[in-house]
Amino acid sequence: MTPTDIPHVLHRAYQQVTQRDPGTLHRDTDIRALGVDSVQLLEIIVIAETELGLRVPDAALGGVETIGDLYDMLGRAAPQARTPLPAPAPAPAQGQAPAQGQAPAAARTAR
Amino acid sequence: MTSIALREAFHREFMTFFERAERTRRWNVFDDIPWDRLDEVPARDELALAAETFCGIEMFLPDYLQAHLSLLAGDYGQAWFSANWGYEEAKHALALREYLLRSGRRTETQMREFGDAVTARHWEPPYRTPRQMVVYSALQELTTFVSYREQRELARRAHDPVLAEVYRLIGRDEMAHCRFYQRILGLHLDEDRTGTLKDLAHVVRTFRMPAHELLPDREDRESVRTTGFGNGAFITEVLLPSLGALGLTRHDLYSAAATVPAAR
Repeated sequence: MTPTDIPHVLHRAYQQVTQRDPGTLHRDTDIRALGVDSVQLLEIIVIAETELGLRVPDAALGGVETIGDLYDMLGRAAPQARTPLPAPAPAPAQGQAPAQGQAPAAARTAR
Repeated sequence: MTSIALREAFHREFMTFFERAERTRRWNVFDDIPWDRLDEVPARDELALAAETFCGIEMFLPDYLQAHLSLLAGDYGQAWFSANWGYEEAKHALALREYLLRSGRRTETQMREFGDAVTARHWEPPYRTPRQMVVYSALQELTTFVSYREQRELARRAHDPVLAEVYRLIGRDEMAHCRFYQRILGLHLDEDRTGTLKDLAHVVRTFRMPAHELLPDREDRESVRTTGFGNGAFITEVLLPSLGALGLTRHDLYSAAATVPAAR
């Protein structure tokens, strides 16, 4: 995932949280006007962080008003710290182990 | 049914809470509010409306207590906490009522009519399990603390020393209640982390503050009730600090949330 994926990931996260299609997400759109409350917004951000491998600082979460704010906040976010796997452990049989605090993809999408 | 070990742990938490309350936090409506400074109280309608609104929310106390106690049969620690909590919340309503009457911002008749209108309605608990009610109470008490902190600041800026002190005393109680519920929640997490996280995620998704929709003249009161709760304030002032107090992050919460269907 790269910063250019942010709009696509947010679109999908919005659908996952609200069960609605937001249509095209314009930068100047007020997030509340999309019918998203603060708790849903937090959930969207967590999904986007997980998908993009980013970590937004808590202090930045209160200042999001528009879709553009959300794009910019995720664009500035640092990569998620990944816990290194213990050296002697064999590689997982299927795919890569998720980073600490990151839900497996199946758990994220199982609704 | 809650396990014996968990109920004993709740009892110990209640005793810790109660000892601190008795030793450091008790106050009374008659002696600890600076009623001798009533002549300094400004004639500010918005302050009086806010005091009346919060008084009204506190007046649903019998419904709140009934809801909690009905879920806590056999759980001595939490049931006795609820009894103590009820005593403190009753004081909050009385302090606000006394402020409105003694300052002349409301008459006895107005308060009686307001009380009749409030108590004609009934509050129903939003959740049906003790653990979900603990989650709800932890969030609700911290939200209430933030509200009273904002109201105290408004009263202080308006140079109302009486109302500012009423809000300070009430806010301190609300924070103590919040801490108790957080500790109970921590015990639940120790016993059943997955189930408790699911309950936490569910309550966060569906959380609404109690009773405000039941008050008369609701539209007029909405702006005073939500003072201090701009966009995102519930997240930054209530949810994230609550998770932090429990040693959790927002990612822990939504890892659990992803395993249960969205509630709305």
